[in-house]
Amino acid sequence: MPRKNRRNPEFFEKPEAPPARADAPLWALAPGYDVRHVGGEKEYRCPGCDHVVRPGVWHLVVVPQGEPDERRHWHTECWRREIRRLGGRA
Amino acid sequence: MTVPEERLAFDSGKGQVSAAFARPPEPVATLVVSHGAGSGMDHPFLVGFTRAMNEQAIATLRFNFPYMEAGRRSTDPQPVAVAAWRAAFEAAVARAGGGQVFAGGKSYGGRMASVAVAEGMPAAGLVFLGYPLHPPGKPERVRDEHLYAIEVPMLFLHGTLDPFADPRLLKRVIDRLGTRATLLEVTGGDHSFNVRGAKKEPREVGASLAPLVASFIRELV
Ligand SMILES: [Zn+2]
Repeated sequence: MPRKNRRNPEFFEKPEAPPARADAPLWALAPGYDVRHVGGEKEYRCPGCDHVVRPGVWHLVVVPQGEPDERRHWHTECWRREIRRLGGRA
Repeated sequence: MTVPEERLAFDSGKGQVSAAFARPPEPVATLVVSHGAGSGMDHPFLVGFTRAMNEQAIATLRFNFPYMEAGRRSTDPQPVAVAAWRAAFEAAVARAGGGQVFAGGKSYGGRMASVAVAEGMPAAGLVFLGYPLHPPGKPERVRDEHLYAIEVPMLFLHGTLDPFADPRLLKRVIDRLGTRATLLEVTGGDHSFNVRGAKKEPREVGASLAPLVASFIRELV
């Protein structure tokens, strides 16, 4: 297959879209939990405060190890409080 | 006859957790039950269920998973939940007085019991009060793999309108499990066995399941 080296100007002129997900900040990591920073377009219910996580708001997705069905979307501040409750013994 | 309830605590492997043990005179067996993901061991449904089991001459032990004990909303990683289950089971065996010990739970709690048994916890049988076979609306994410590794009898109590288990999918799982599995359906029941229009309190709903579970256990001991 011949490689296409020709740059597509249209592609390069587009402003780069923000990544949909990224690594969580270090403080948010807890042993036994997979934590990701996300900026989704859907509305979610935060288990920490039982309020809505609004579309487009960057927040955290937390999945307990081995429990994909228990995946939840948290407000960053609510997960911060939850982390304190974990008290380092997660 | 009200059987007195002993409040106790045991080491879950992630700190002390609470439990409630009740032993009727001359129990036929002991059943350990764990709570659903969003409610602790003293949820009226679970209290009503265990107290009614005691009236059926079956001893019970309810306990909290570590996250619930700590007042957290995020469920424990699976290894933590399974370790807590093993510790709860041992606490029950120590109090059972030599009788057989069964394991079960509501929703998430029942699934954790089954994972513990699949990994070697020596329960005489399993009781599922609403097995969460898949997340609501996501039948493609069926969680049944570990069930086939279980060799003890399993009772699936299931509301026919439970969105956590498509009836046809559940029947397929039951068929594949063969003689190990018993399915008892509560017509019109949702994931918490509430039937629309019935207007029963959770405690009463939990209690209503006890005779079904008791006859399943009696046939095995
Ligand atoms: Zn929140």
